[in-house]
Amino acid sequence: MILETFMADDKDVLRDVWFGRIPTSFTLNQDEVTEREAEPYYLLLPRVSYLTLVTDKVKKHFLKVMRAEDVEEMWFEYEGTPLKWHYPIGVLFDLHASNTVLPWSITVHFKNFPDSDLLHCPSSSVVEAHFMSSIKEADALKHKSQVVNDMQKKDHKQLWMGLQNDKFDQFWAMNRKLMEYPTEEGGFRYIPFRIYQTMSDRPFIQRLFRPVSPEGNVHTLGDLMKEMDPAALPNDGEPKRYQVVIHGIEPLLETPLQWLSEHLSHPDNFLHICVIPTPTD
Amino acid sequence: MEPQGGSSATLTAIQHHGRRRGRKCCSTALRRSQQSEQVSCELSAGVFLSQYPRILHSPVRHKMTSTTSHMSSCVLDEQNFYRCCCLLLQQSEQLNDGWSWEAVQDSEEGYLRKTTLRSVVINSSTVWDLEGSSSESEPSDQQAQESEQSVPVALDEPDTMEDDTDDDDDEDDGVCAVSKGNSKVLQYEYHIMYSCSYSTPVLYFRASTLQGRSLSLEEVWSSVHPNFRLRLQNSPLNTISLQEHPLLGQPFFMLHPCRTEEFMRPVLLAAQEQHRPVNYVLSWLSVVGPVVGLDVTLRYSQLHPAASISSTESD
Repeated sequence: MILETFMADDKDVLRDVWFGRIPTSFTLNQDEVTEREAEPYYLLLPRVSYLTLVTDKVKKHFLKVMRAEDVEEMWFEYEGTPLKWHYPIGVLFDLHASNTVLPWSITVHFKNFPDSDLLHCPSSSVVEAHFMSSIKEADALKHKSQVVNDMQKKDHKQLWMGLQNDKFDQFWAMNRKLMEYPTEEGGFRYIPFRIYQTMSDRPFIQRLFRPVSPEGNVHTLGDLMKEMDPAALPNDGEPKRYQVVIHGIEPLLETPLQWLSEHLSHPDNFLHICVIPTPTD
Repeated sequence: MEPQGGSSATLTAIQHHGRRRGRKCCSTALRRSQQSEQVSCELSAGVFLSQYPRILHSPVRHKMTSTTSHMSSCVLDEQNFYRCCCLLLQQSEQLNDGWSWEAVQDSEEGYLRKTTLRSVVINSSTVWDLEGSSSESEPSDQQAQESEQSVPVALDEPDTMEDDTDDDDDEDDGVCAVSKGNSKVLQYEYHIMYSCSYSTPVLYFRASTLQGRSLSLEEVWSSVHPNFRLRLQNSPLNTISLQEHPLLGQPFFMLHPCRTEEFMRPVLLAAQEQHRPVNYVLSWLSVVGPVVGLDVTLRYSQLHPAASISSTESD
């Protein structure tokens, strides 16, 4: 494959995406049994990481006021909704709390794990397996798995360690390989994406979609939404009822999908797109 | 893919033979994987390849290569998936095998579903980490799972088996000794869906007691046949894991599909050479189903394939 070099401006986008943060306050659920009152804990959460990976300090903070026998697997909830740790943090925020006042107020639980809603996450190796599984799936869509299968196990480790330790350069030294494509193709084979909306029964929409049409037309974000979730787009003349949000921003619908996939994907190589109701105020 | 019933009989017969070979392959590969800290999927393909003794002697590479002329015939597209499901459903109805189709919102999209009751021996005190305390945590690479008969296996000496005589754990040599589990009746629910990322079927399942308590990953592991368990356990990317169901959003166990095309390819090529049509979904199911307790009855092979789909049948 021929290397596609990124423009200098585009690299800034990669950094902005990587270093996005959400100020969050963690409050202990009031039904938890404590030996004394628990203060809230404040943290800047990385948008591109996962809750169970970055909240060791939260756990330590609350364990100081609890007895060991009252502590089971920690889980998080926002306004009654259990938060799925296997979704990137930024996706959870955009989906549930994007138009609310900061800091994001999350409630912490140590009992009554809702195992009909949430996956268990007993260790960081579970997060690693989930993360690498997403990367593999994304490459199956982009390159029929050829790039990820040509990598050695230490390359896979480098991707994971880069995420775990918040090392942008270490991560992208390897991730750039997953962003290459033959110039004559014009883009990846299929674009890895998932569309989330809270109003739907389905957890997400994920289907095959090419970045370039057979006639050679470049597909845009608008083309993707029209095909996958037309209700998200406004009809002519009507006010916009929904926002199409990626990393907390609304990209123009005319943006080429291939560019979005290369620059606004999460570290798991998926474009996570949130469709949320437009705020009414 | 042209549907047909005969190949599944062959597969199931080979599988039975292959289980004994599979055990030997498992322990060798397990020792190798312990030493080299493999995290890739490469070794795990072996447990399925070992079920096809012919293939072990032919140069099948573990890594996926783009032999385009073969790949296109071994890929299952979504339309064919639905056709295969349709045929499997018809045959299931004839055999009273219990499969149903769950559609998504009046669309063509959906999944095959079946529930069964199984009586299994499960051990509730399962994993022992290096500190010796029991927990619900994922097994580390150095720890063994107890087998269905509660006989512990020490990974350092794979050929030594100790009889379990008491309930105490022995921390010093890493051998876990646990009490014999009770036999319980469990309800299993299986879903077959299509993965557009891998162009293969995927098996999702969940298990609960009759009182409605969901089984943990550890309990599910202890009901997997030991031959499969050792191999699957040490390949984190090709194993049973807890995933979000893509249509229902609830936690389900899933058999990772990324190696499906590899073990299906020899089956499909062999069928092509012999001009036999194959029901991809049925053949695939007869391989992966038994790993998680779902048996595919041999009677499927005794049915005439439905006349509607196949055009190469000459009766």
